[in-house]
Amino acid sequence: MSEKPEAFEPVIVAFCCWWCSYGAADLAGTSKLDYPTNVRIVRVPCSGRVGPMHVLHAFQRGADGVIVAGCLKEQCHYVDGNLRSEKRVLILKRILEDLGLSEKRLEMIFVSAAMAPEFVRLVTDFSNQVRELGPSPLRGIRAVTIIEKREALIEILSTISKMTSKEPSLMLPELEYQIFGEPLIDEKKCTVCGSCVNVCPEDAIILEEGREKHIVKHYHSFCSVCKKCEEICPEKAIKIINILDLRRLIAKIDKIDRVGNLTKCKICGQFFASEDLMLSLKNKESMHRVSPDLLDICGKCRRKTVLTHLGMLTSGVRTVSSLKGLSD
Amino acid sequence: MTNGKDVRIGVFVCHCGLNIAKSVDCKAVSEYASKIPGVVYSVDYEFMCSETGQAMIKDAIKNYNLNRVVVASCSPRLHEITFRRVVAETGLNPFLLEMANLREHCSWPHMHEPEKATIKAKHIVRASVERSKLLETIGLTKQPVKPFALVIGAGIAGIQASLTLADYGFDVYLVERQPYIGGKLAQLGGVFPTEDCGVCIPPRPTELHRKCMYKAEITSNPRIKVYTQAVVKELEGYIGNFKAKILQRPRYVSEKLCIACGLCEDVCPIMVPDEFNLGLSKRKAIYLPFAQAIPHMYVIDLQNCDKCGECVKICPTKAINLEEKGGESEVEIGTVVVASGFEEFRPNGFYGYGKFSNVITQLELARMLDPSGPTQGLIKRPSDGKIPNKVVMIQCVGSRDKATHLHCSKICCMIALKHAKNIKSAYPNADVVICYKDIRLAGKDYETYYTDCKEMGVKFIKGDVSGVSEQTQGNVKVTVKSETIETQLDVELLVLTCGIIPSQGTDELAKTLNLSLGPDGFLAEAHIKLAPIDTKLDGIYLCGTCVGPKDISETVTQAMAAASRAAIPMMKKEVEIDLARSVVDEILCVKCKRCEAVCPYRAIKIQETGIPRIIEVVCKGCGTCVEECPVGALQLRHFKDQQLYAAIDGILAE
Repeated sequence: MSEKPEAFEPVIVAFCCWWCSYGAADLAGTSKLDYPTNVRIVRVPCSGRVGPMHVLHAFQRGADGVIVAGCLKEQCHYVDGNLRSEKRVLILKRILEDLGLSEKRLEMIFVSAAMAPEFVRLVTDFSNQVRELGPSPLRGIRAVTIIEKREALIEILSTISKMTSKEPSLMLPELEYQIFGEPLIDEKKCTVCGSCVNVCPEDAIILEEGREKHIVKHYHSFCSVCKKCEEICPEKAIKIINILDLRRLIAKIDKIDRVGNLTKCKICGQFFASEDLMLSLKNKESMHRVSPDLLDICGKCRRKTVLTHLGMLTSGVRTVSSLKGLSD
Repeated sequence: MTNGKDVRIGVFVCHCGLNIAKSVDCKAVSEYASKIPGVVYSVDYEFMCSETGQAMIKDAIKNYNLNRVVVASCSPRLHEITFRRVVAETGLNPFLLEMANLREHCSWPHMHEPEKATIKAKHIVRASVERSKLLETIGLTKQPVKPFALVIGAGIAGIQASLTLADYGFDVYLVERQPYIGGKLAQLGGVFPTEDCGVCIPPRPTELHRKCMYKAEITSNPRIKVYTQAVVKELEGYIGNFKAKILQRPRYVSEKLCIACGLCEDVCPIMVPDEFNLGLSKRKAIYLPFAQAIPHMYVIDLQNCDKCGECVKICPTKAINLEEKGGESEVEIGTVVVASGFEEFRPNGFYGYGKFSNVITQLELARMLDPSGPTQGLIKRPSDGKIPNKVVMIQCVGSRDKATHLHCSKICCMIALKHAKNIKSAYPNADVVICYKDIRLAGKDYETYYTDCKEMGVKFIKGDVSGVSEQTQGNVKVTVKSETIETQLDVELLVLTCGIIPSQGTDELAKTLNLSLGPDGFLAEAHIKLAPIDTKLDGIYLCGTCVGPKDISETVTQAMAAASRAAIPMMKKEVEIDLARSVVDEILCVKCKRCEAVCPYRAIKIQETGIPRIIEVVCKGCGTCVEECPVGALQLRHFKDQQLYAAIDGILAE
């Protein structure tokens, strides 16, 4: 496809759902209705199967415009796949616009299998719309080959940002598409206990253990909104929100969420647990029976103290069961 | 997934006579295809779908040891099944076939641009070839079907469906919310077009005489188990293997012991409006719903009962137990027929209904006209019991109206004409006026009602009723505006012909069964023309007025059809489906349960481990869960991400 600027013909990829829009395209053929030859159709079972990666994949392979075509609203053969798809398309349109690639290069259309003239009109209009925009700046881009869904998505968005040299600034709160998230941590409640870190399947929350302080770090780009941390948090300090912050995603900026200063062991002087965690433990009713002297010392010293107190250290008996009994 | 290295692809380009070949250079396309890596054989031929064409494909598969087949011809809607069969006959998995749609998507719409069409055809073939490289073998799975059916609603639709299913030889659980079976039909009195008693049911195919409902075999048929005062609380599972929880409210009167002697009713001190007669008469707190009610036994309305215990004392068979608890049963079934029926639109606030006592609905009039009804067949106006001489009916109340419901309720014109005719026959001197928007009588023998009514002197006024106001002696004044004139009518009894709406609780039932509702609140069929009885879920079928307004004969026809649809999988004893459904990657899954929440078919169940399980029989292969999974742990077989990317790569290849 040689394209002189004056004879530019855009390449359009149309993802057509099997039940309606693919049928509308079939009927356009059967009715011998003309539309631009550069509209090329990819069959999908439902428009709900099409996601941002498929659209972006088409762009990075040289499409100038992409159409996602579904059944009429309320008439999706899979109940609501088209509406879910529309939500994603609308989000992606805003992302494309923010990255300097016109949102007009992507449209969602809704046609029934009987609406061949409408299909022809919509794809022809779209083709004209894209022709005016000119060739996609992403033509000839180095295609991303990463398989992992979100990693690939971020990579391709970064590449687009580089190509268009546009700094992203889009921030979408309350996203209706679960793809990236962020924990809101209640600073007053969090004790930096690290429970959330242990359950996060995506390593979106990690704990950096320093000598004098612990830092809980969070990655927006890794959080998949599974809410495991929200469920496990003993202090109910975490609330997961569904957001998309394009600047941070692309720059891969992690955010320091919480720093926990550690308590010094009164006996050996080693730092052992966060001050907040100790405070929270002391406030717990079940802990009132435990001597405060035992709480202010590290695990190692505590064991020694207890055993010495019971006269067991000298006798050398150090079984697990006897230790369990002691803590009661 | 194969890495696409060991593939041996055969490409078959069809001319479709001149349909494709006229604008697409098929030879050039075939030559282009032969140069794509992986393609070991490429050919073009006049009619690929012909016997000769099919034989060419089979021979090539054998001779060239092909393991992928790309047929570039018409839309897969037309011949995908054909070519899958051809491929399968050679022993190759049918899902290793890929079609390139050259006719509908290329040669036909671009017939005036042959050069460009040929270029596009190459792209289309390239997409199919690239995609075919990543196609996988997909197997079949079989699920046994339990030979039991659940029928929800025991109106005429549910009764007919149950009888038909029992005739097929299947056991039926028939669940009815009311204490009696028969539904709305039992309230209608004489029904058009033959005006015989509504509680009669049509004869069975082998019998010629009609039977009243209580002589029909519904309650005695060993294959039908009836649950009255019961609702389906839960339905889980899938076609062939449903589990339903049936919740039965207590009757407080033992089914086995009650002999319907009526002594209890005599001693009961409490009187409340009778809902069967829409409040036109009173009943006791212990009551027989109506004279011919089936099951023919008493029931206690505990909400209105003060537990005085008089009935318990007098009952000769000791059938009454005021402490009875409701029952919950769980049944396992293969298929479900929904026949939850309709309700008359309650016109409170319309045309003075609820405000003026002599404004009633057609259903209330039907109760009056019923010889065994509250007035023994006489029309007595509620205010003074006088037989009215001037009766006016207003059509389309709560129907064909932007403010209430948009749909035409279909049967109300006939109901009004039938009642007008009944009134004129009984009281020839009475004035009967019908104010209408349009009269719609498209049914067998229906038109005669219109001519009969006109002959009998029923007046028809086309126009909108603009006002109803109260006059003296309980009369009302009705103002009708037609195109040319405004008419004022002095009315002794105003009858509102109300539209029909889905029965109460239809939305809850839809939630329980996971069915969809249409815009007017009726249950949604899978396809209004081609699958009017099926639902979006396999194994659940609809019939009667729960789908939309219908007359009795249509309802009965549809009930038989629904029973047949429900019987098919049970007669086959198993359902077979291909496994082109979603699959879960347990390692990638983050257990967020998103997939379970978005699946429109409840085909995903979260296991104890937190990992979702796809119920393949229920999954329809839409791929919604795949796209909504934040981490890409789900894939849809035959439309996996890599397969889609390959198609995109192909269609955009230089």
